[in-house]
Amino acid sequence: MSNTLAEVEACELIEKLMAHALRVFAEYGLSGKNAMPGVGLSAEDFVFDLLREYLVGRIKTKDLSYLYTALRNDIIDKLKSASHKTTDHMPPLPQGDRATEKPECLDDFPSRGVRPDDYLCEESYKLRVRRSVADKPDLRDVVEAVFDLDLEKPGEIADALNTTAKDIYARNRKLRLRLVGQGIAEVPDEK
Amino acid sequence: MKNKNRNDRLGQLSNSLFGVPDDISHAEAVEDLEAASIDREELFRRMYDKLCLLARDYRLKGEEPPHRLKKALEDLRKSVGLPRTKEECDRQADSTVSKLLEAVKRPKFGLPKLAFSSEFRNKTSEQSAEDQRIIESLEEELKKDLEREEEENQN
Repeated sequence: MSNTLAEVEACELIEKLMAHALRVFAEYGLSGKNAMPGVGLSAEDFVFDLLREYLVGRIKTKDLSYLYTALRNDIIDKLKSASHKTTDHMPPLPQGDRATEKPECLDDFPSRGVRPDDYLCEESYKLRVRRSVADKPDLRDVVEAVFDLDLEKPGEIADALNTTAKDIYARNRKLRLRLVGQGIAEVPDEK
Repeated sequence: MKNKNRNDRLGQLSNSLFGVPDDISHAEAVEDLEAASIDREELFRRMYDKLCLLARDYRLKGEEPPHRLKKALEDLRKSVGLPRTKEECDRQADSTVSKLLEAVKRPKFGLPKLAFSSEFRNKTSEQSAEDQRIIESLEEELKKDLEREEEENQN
């Protein structure tokens, strides 16, 4: 598997970047087919913007891993910006005389949706991933090893679960397919 | 990991759960796209169109598009079978139309068995025995022609 960009054809590069963008979108509760609320950019838009910068020489890297990191950071940066653009700051309690005025306050707008910046919170992220694999014991084991035992490498996770690193790679793959196919956002928020 | 910022920390968790992006093969990336119901050919076409516009901007400014951009356009053109020139485009259009017409002409489940009307043939008062023989031989010839045409269409 080549990670030197000079050896990767455009189609392969587009497919790899698009797959990564979909994964990052899904991790943060977004569907890869829809645009990010408040920003209006889809996963494909992020891929094209990055690809354009690379193809015209504004990004001079020779490593694919650099593009993966840049893509992830671009999406997260826009997600943070989206959370600002889609947030109205209002007083938590009504102010003034409610009988004569109609002030807007948080009590008047009980949000049922998940705030974009909530997806950027580690605890929220963990909660959603746990819920999305609750019905799959083999995947749940990996998630618990990473979250609860703080294990990072496939070898470490394999040792903890009494299995092989190859099996962990296979479970990573299943987790990824489940993520991009169903998304974390589909999991109901019980908070 | 305590000193890592939040993005790095989430990135690390992501890699541990879903795999390190560098380790994901081309085939696996394709599988991911299919899981997300992404039409790859359509994706290439959209990317190609946008990159064409980008290359055109360079040419309008009297500049040569960057080498990487030209190479990417060439790769995409090959992958989705897009034409290079107007002539190539016309040839592809002709070929597509011909294929379409052939498909429309071709009967889906074969021709129904044809039967000739015997109304005129059996009117012996108005025709000679010779006429009758000619009609029957024409009928045979026509049947054979139709059968041959049907076989050709099926092949």
